Amino acid sequence: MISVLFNYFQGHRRLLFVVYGLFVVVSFALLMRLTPQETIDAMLPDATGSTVRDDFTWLQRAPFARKVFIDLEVSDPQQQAILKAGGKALAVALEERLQTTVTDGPPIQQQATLLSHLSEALPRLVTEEDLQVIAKRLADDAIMTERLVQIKSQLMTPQGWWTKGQLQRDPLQLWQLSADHLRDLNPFAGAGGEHGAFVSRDGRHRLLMVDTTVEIGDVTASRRLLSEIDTAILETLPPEVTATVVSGHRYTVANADTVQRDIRVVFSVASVAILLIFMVLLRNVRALWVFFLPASVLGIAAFMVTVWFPQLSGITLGFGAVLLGITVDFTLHVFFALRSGGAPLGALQRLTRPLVGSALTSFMAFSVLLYSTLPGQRQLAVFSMTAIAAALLLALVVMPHLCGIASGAMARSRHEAVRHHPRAAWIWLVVVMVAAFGCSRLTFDGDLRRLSVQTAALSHGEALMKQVWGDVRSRTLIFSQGNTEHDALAVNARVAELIASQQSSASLVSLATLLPTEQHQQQSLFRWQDFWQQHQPQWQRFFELAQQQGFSATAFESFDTALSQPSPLLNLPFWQQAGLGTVIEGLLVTDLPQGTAVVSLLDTGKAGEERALELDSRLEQIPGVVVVDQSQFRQQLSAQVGHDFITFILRAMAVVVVVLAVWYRRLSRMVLALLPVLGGLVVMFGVMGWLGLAFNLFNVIAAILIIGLGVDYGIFMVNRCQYGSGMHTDKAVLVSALTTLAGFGSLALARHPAMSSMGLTVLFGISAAVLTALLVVPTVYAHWCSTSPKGGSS
Amino acid sequence: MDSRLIRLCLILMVFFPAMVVAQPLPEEMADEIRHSAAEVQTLSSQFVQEKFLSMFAETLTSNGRFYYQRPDQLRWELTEPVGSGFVLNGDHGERWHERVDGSEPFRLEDDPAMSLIAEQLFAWARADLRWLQEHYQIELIGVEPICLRLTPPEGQGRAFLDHLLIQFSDSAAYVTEVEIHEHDGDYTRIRFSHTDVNAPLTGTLFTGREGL
Repeated sequence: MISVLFNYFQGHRRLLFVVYGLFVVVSFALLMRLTPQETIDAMLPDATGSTVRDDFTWLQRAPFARKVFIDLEVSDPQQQAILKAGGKALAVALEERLQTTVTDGPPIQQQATLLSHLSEALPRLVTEEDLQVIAKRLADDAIMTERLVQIKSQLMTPQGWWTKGQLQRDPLQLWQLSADHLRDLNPFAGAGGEHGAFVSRDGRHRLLMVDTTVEIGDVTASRRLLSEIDTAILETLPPEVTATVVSGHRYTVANADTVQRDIRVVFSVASVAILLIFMVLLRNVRALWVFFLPASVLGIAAFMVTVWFPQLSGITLGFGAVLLGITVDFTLHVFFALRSGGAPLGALQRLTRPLVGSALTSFMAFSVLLYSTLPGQRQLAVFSMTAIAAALLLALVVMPHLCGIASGAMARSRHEAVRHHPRAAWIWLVVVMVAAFGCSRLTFDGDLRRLSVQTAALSHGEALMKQVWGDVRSRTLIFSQGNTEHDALAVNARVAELIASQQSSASLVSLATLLPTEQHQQQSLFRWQDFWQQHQPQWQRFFELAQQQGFSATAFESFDTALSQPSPLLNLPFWQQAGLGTVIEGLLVTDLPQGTAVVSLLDTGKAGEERALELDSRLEQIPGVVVVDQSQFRQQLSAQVGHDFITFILRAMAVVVVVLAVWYRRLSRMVLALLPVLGGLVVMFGVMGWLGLAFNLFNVIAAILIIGLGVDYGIFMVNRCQYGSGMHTDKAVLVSALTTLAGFGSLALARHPAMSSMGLTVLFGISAAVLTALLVVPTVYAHWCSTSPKGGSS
Repeated sequence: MDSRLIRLCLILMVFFPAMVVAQPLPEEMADEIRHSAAEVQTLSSQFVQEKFLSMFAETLTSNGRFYYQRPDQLRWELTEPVGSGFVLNGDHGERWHERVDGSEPFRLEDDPAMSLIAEQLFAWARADLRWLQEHYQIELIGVEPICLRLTPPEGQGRAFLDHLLIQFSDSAAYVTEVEIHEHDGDYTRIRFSHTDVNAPLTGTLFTGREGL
């Protein structure tokens, strides 16, 4: 078949080039038309029973997921006034620059009605502890007299016009007790001190929260946002105040900056390395086709993914491009075979069998990814299988007519001998055994955060936030769902009730504080009415003291009236009217496909892991409740991806073994073909284990590259030993490995953890695989299989 | 003089104020206020505040000081019987009380109560008739000196304010007396005295509590 096609196109080269040109245009056009999805979704398992994907979606809805936090700090607590003024000025500047809201305290709108609403709410919120506070105030003449003097003084100020009604309705400032309940809504455990502002307990820190619509993943907008914030900080803050900005956007920009730097470094190093390989080992302009031909299948392969999947993942496309490295081998071997000086058709015929064999093993190895729980890996399977098939076809049909005929040094060296390296084989064995011990130390890390750049500034910011304000962003999220807001709030109230009943040290930020169940509200109301009936004499004493201070007999009769009137039911509209709309909306998720969810934040840090898990499982028994714990999410992801990875490696190896078994039908050749894969994987795992480098979502892909390329090296070298050479097989294998190392191994120089881990993996694995193929396979073949050589030199 | 004419004059004298109350502010009088007030760059004065509140058996009297500098700087301070006050500098301000050390900054945007109070004080201080005409229904109730009754439209200000009575100086350049009447019949009278117009004021007056 290949001979027929070769002979046909020998006479119709123009037709071949036109058809290939069309193929390139179509492939390029398809690539341009595709819009890959730039999210991590594709790398999240979607297996039945896995909650990771859902949990990730819920995590995106966390109340603080998209906010920018700015910690302001002074070294001396005496500089609190400077800190306060600086914070206010920066908040104003940021609001003007960013046209957004900047919060420097609990998001309570200072509405005229807030205090009166807090007073009105108390009868339905009041606890036994609150009543003890009131009783204490009523029992002490000095406290009551002091309060009356305050009221009098306040009424003399201009603000007195505004507050007179409130002072009459609530002379004992009972609204403060309701306001204390609002403190449970404060997610910042480290905040304390000043009312209405996020101030640390030692008074040295203030916190600003900047609202933004900028997506965390949007590099350009994130860069602009942070630049505006930095400028505002520079222009507004006095030198005594230090600002630390903490936000997901900073990670985005840091990652983008690092990747840009890495691309410059890696591209430069890889370009120089490939140029050197080209100049030293290829030395022919037609060799450019070696790289161009496989690259031209990129668009077709990406298009095939969109046929099977609704969305093409950007990660798939990126990794797919990386995996095209495998297909460079096909064209490389054709190039070397046809330029070896022999009859082109004969060389091509000899090459076809190992080429198809290596393509088949790679094709089958990738096919096991179709069973992955990660949609991105399933996409990768389709992408790679298409690319391998197309690249093989191009290598066998098009490449022979593009790479020209041999001349010079290459043609003269066609009868090189297979070299044996027994000493090298022994050294290899020792290295593999040492590495094998390191394999047991290998760990898998599914934490996506560790694949992100972590600069000193970012680490400092995270540590500072955690230390001063508490671990806000790592709290367990509890979503209480319902068809309506009312239903969701009812579920949320049950959640709060359950947590309270557990009497653990877990602290909860929950709307249940403002919106208890109707049953609880009724209980509080009874408690309140009973209290005032019992404390009538003390209340009368307050009247007497008031008159001694010059107040009239009717001064506080509206409080008396309020006691006898029905208290309003505490519901969402009530608190929205009170000016707490922002607080409530911050803890509501209203864009669910069905209904609404109320978010609560649970800090189980002090409860101990077992108790926390027990609490989680109890909460999840309440219908409509979803508990998302960030550390558990990472563990689950790690476990699932780790399992997926092991399954893949085992299945891929099994498939490769089966294909090789069918292909060779002899154990010795099959094992020899597998030797580079085994050597590559064991050394790679072992070195990583010894160096303490963990496997992650990214270098799993590198493992695929090692298997694919390792088998190729094995097949070509076995073929070389079996049938002799004359086709520069050693050189082709070496060049293939060197180009892979130049392209992907240079990623080891990257600072980005994901890129660098992938580079290191490739560096260890490919180096070991190619050395195994070139040094060990011929030696072992000579001792094990040399009884039945079928020609060529031995 | 004819006794009839004398009687008519007496009747007119008795009912003249009532006839003035019913009148809108004549344009020439409005011009006079605008023209005189436009000349004022700074004001400083003392004041006596009397609160007639149903909550108290007696009138609450207090004394204080008031400073204004065009366009938007103001200091309002009670000195007796309780020391308290605030300064305003554009949108920002600070307030204090003798029982508390230091002062508390605020932004008018965040503090609707202070925003309304500031609005009132600036309107009187500037004698900004254009602003007053936009925000109140104005009636003339006295001519020598000019005295106006200002009734706010429905809105936030109306929540605690029924109407204002403002009396201008003879020159119509500044306000000498204000009465703030609430819906429940309570009212506050503020009498300004020892007023200096366009006297130089130190800039620190408007920077905070210690500025004086």
